[in-house]
Amino acid sequence: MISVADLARRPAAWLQSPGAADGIVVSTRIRLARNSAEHAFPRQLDRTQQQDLVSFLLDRLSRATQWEESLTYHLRDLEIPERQALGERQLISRDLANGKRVSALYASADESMAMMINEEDHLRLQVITHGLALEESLTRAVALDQALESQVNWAVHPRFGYLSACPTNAGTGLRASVMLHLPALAETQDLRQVLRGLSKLHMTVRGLHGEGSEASGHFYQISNQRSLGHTEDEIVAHIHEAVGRIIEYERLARTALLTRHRNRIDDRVWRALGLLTHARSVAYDEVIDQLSWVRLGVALELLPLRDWTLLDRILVQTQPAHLELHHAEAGAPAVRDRLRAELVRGWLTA
Amino acid sequence: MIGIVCQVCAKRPATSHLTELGPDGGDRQELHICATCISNLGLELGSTPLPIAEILAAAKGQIAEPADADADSESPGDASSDAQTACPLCALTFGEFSANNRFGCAQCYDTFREHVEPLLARYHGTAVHSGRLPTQGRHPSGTARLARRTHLDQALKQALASEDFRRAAQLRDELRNLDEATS
Repeated sequence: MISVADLARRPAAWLQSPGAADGIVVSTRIRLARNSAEHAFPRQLDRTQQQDLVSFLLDRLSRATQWEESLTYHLRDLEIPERQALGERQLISRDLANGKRVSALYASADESMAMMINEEDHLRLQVITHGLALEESLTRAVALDQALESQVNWAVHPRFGYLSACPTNAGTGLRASVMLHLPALAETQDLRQVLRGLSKLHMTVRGLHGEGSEASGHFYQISNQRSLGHTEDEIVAHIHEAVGRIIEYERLARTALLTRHRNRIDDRVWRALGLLTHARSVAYDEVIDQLSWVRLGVALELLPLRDWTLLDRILVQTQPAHLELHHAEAGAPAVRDRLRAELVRGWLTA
Repeated sequence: MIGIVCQVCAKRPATSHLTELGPDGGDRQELHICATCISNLGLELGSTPLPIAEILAAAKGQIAEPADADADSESPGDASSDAQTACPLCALTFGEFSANNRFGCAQCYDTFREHVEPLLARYHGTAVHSGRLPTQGRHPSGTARLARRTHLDQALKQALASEDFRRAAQLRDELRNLDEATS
């Protein structure tokens, strides 16, 4: 099986810009939370019982999926940068990457389907893809879930549906998320109002790396807050509708910037490109912030760049753990920042 | 059942799990018990163990917290006793649940049901599930199918009333699938 270091050389499954709608929609993720009816939930299991659960589920998942190739990682066997890199690739949560419990990742070779074992729930199944693909991703997730049903007796309740450790995930266990890039809405100051509207529609907004992460580089994940009381199709349709509206708002904001503030936005995207092509030391947060403007500059054809793949490579490959896995000297932040600047400069000016 | 506490001492992890079905296959009764309690009660759990009722009768007087928990739940106004109520399967108390907002096992949803209903309604606007349920392996119970059918019927009426015929056709298909799964 491929090592995490080799995995980290590849593009991420969720990022193939411009995605959809001129780079506004980055990716789509469908997540289902499931628990075995035969085991207590993770927080009540001791380490031996957690180990039994991980072995039990790995065996059942492999029988149910019958994938010729798969990625299986026991988190306890991985070094810290390897765990962090799996998190950076959005294959596991931050909690799992930083946690100490016995856990594993089982994923399809192309990383589009990933299952976290013994996270907050016994199983967190996700289908992740680039662009806007809510319905297709839900279909794939449900098909996978149905295949698992023949192997695992899931904890369900006739009234409450699928049972989860946290009551906020009960019912369908579904979290449907779309990652959006909204630099123009942020620039025109309309973003706050749009996001406030989403919370009234029972939707949640998170940053690039999901729960607990700050929004950086104007990347926002929009997802459903309620998982119970509506069917999976209804939840996905609800998110799709909201995302459609936000795409329109972002398009209007981009047009407004081009017509009313063209000089300001032109200067901004060129400065961002200038920083990335000339800086000698740059932290990842700064890369994301500047890359956000460069992405906008490419989408609006203000910059002479057309290569979205290159922008994706910067976004994924210059993350701290990705750098550390490939450059032994990148353990120290100061060295890592110099190395990052050098790589970005090299790629953009090649 | 892994991670389940012994129902007799309510302390040690259960090591033996007995399931007894009534004459018609219904009235399922379960007993989870640890090796120490088995030894203390002088039980021999061979291929034909004693009926669960007899084991419980033998253990009478030794059964710890969960038996007391029932008495607590009869006085819902008493917050301190509510916090001490423990799930008979995983031993999580309501106080521990409240502190972390995380259940210990599937049984907790029924153990703390009087709190769960309003909690779910607060988070989700309702406490009644209307999405998928497993269709293979473990078939949804009659109650679940009934709940699902009621939801689909209502949704179909709404879809027809609002002339959303595409949605109505989807719902009819789902109702048909439900019938086929039942037959």
